Amino acid sequence: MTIISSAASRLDVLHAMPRRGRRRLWIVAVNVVVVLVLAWMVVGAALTPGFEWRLVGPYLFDSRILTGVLVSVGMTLASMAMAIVLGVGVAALRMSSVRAAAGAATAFIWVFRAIPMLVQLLFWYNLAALFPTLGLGFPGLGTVGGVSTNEVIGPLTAALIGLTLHETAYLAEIVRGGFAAVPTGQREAAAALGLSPWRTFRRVVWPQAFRIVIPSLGNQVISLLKATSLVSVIALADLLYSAQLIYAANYRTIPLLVVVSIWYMVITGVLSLAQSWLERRLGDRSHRIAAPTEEGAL
Amino acid sequence: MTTSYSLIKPADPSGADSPDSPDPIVSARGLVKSFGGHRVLHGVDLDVAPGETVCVIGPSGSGKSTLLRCLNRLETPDAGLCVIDGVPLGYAARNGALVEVGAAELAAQRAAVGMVFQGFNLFAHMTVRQNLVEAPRSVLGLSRREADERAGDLLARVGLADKMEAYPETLSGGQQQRVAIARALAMRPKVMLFDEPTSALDPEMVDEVLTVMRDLAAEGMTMILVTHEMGFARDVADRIVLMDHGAVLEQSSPRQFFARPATQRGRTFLEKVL
Ligand SMILES: Nc1ncnc2c1ncn2[C@@H]1O[C@H](COP(=O)(O)OP(=O)(O)O)[C@@H](O)[C@H]1O
Ligand SMILES: [Mg+2]
Repeated sequence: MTIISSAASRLDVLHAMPRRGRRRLWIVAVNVVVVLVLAWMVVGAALTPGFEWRLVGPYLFDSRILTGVLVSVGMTLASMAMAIVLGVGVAALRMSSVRAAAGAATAFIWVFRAIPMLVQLLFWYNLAALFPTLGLGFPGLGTVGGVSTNEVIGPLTAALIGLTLHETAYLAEIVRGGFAAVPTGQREAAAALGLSPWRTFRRVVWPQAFRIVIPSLGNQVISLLKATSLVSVIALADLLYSAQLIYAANYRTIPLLVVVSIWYMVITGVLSLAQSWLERRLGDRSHRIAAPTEEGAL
Repeated sequence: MTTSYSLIKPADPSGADSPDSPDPIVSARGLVKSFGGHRVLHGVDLDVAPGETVCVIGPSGSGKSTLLRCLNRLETPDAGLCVIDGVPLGYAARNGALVEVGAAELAAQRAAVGMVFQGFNLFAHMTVRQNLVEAPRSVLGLSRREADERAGDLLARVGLADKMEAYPETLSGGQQQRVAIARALAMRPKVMLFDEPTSALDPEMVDEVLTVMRDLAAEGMTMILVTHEMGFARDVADRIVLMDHGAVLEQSSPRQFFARPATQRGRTFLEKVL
């Protein structure tokens, strides 16, 4: 037994050195190849005349493009804010013990997650075709407060409704998952201490669920930002549609798409930074005390 | 609810061997609980005198945890009533009849009963201090200063004065359980329930928790404790309650019980755990 194991360990020692050396060589080789490929792509792009790089700079800060950026970011933030409120509500219904409420919430989530964003936008935009006027209809008594649908639901309203409802369905599931991930022991301990159900939710369950949900929430904001580019189909001048309007007139398609891409990358980058800052801040609160000696040394 | 309010008066003292039988501070009558057709408690009665330490033992699945959770109504019993220091948990007396109270009022009633869980259940997002001041501040309405002071005293008492600002995850299991005991005590409960408080601990941490509980019993706290620590039960308990299949099989002093359980099933159980 001892002879075998010591022989085995000697074999390990014999092989360890060259194998580790070979691995390091591989890593260096892969790094070199990756850098070369990237350099080739950058230089290639820079030298391709079709990109028309000299136009990118001026268009980047064209007022029409900047307005488009504002519209895209504004729509993202507005529909996200509304979707968070609605999503928590739908999640609460989904978790409620009232069968009908839970069923309605499940149906809502199914419908608005299943139908593609693009289709939903077209539906809301074309609502006027379905219901020419909006008001409270009472069968046999006529309609109260009828207004023209086209007046109320312009492209912006249609876009906000579509984005919000779609996002609500996703957030409801994320929020529900966050609540489910808080161990029941936390609720029981709070109840045993005499905390009321509302207090238990506010002080114990919600803060922990929120922490669990934050990373997914960040990802959702970024997806939503990109989903806003779909509103170009209903002629709303977001970032993409503003660029499309310009190149429809002057045929500078590629440089304008480059401008659009740069803006999406910049906004997504800022959102990612905000997300990791928030995650670090929330994480810190439960790790701050972990290593008091190291912190003292700093 | 057919149970009458007179249940608060002490029942016949035959079960417990407390010679002077003072008014019980915990009085449970006819607790019945089923889970999906499976009956877990078959009408359990339990009286506990002020200052008494009762150890509930019995095989796994015999309903010990369910009994404890019915005592503070974390689990709503299908029938039966638990009266803590004259207050029927979950009910209020209106015109001589018992009326079920709402969730918020029940929560306030529960504050009189402390509970310590097998898995500690400290609030993970709060520091030790925040764990200790949350309920005293929001339920008892203590000022920040009063609650902090109380937390400091209790932490010193369980030997963790230096862990005030630590987060639970940075503490050992034994330390977490001592914080959990301090958190329950911060509500100045009239009775403390312990559900296998040392079962989740590494062996070397069991003693630090048992020591805290021993001190607590010596100070006269009323305690109901589910445990597999037979040595502790023998030394500290005033009474042993043996449960099996959702019923109290026998109860007696530890001296009597550990010498020779009265029932055959009691003897079989004791042989297995000793
Ligand atoms: N929430 C629950 N749902 C379903 N069954 C349960 C639940 N809690 C306990 N039980 C069942 O009740 C019985 C008694 O459980 P418990 O009181 O935990 O026993 P003990 O603490 O003595 O081990 C077990 O058979 C257990 O499976
Ligand atoms: Mg148990």
